[in-house]
Amino acid sequence: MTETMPSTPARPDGGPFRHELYPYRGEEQFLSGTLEYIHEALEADEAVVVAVPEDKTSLLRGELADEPAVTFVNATTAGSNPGRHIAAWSAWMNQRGEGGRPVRGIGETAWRQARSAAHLSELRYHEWLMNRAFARSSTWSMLCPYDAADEDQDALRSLSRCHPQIRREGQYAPNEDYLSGNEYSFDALAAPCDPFQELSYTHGDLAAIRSKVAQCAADAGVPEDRLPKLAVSVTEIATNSIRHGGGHGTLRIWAQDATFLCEFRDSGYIPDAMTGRSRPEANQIGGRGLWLVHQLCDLVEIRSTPDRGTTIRLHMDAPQR
Amino acid sequence: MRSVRALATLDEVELGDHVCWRVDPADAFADARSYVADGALYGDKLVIIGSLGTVAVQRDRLPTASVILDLPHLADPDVMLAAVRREASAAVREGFRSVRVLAEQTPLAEPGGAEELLARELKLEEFASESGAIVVCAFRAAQWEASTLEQATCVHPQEMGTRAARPAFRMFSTGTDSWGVDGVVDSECAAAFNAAVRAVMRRTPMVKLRFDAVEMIDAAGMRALVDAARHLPERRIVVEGANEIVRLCWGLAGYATADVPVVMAA
Repeated sequence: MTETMPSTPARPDGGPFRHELYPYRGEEQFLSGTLEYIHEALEADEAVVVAVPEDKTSLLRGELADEPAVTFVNATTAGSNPGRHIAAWSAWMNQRGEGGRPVRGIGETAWRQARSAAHLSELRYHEWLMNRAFARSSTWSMLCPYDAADEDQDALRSLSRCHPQIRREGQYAPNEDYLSGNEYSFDALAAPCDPFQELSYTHGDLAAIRSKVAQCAADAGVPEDRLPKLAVSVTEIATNSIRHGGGHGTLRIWAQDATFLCEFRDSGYIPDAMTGRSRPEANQIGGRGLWLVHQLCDLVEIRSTPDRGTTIRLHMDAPQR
Repeated sequence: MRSVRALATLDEVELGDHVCWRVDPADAFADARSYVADGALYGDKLVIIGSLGTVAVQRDRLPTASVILDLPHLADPDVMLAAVRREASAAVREGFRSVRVLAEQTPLAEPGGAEELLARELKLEEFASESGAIVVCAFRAAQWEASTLEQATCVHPQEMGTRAARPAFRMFSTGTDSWGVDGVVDSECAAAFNAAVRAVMRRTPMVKLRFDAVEMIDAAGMRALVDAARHLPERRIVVEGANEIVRLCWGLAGYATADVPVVMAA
């Protein structure tokens, strides 16, 4: 069962932004494909930003010495929540692309370190959203190496649907599997784990929501120093329900597999899938609520359709005691 | 040190308190009578602003040297405050411990009445903070718009009533052009916060806000703060003492730039 989410229109081929999936097997193929991509960039006087796992970084550094056009960034600084990654990439690419210089990014997600099925699902959605986020970036392109050694064809197919191009044997080509429409096929949200607590809220209930969530989060083992982040996050989501989601909503709270979850449901609709994924400007009037939530929570799942309303799940790690 | 708190009755007032009292009509101002009687007990000079005294306490039962300021021109907050200050100075000369002010606030009919009320309350707040006088402001809830009353409540460091009546935040004087904020500033009280900060900014180009007791501020609260600073030209707010989550959210929200006339100091 899947849900769909409309987004801003995108060209079937992904637009001028080139976003290539590069399935490889083993270190040798990783190096050959990424180095080829980098050398293409250097020959065209383009800058390169590399954000790959630490072991792959070491491999590439060993081959590139001190090439000044290539910048290695620590992908973990953006945090584990995929909802933060577009802003991080945007900042890295902007820094290296000063003066309109074309920039290529190489980003490999540590897929096997995904913390849960929900995390994996949001990582894939992030890859698909990159096409929307950078659709008008004619000077940016991106290569996503993917270690296909485990022969998991389903995983490869799922990821393949998020990339408009695919690179094989040094050439990129349109990817026929690419999900080119304006709707993304989400994995359905898993059912809340029993026991869960549920409360309805409307104007005047923000303090009660914070109080309830703080109590349940502490009981579930969320560290004390993370409770303020949760307080801000639940305030923002409940505020959105009250202001834009029909004036009221329902909150469910539960803990599952070392994760504390808050699920908000309301009748509102978030038409722009990019909401909350771009860093706000100082003079921007609104649009900070979901941005803050993405920055403060460990994972955020958003499902919103005009007919079924909006469901937002906030995940916060709750280490087992 | 002035304490931010709720009072169960006016018997609990202390020197320097500035109390918001939502008058219950059923009480028929019985609390006022004990407040007046306590003034005599502690050696405070009673100053009544408005007509409350004539309703709540019979004139012939007022302690000697009590003053009733019930003049039309007292609607001007500067005139009102000057009159109260004069009485406070006289009280010291006359050997009283302090003045004990009872002010019944009445809605102003003209446009901008809510803003004028805030200006008036902030002056009384500064007066209580600086002089150590006790100021109790009485509001008959039925006479007021809920939003105006909410704004007024937020600029009193104390209120009398049940727990449910407590405001999400309170703003109170901590010295010249310095204001403390206590509680939570979220979307439900952002408009009141904006109004309070704007009222403060009317009088001076630079204001210090002490955030030591602010638990959290959300996106609407931060915007309310920035909008208040931008409401008039050449204004600047310095926020001090903010906790880690407030400073984190401020930076994430994109306000930590020179373009924003609010500085989140360490």
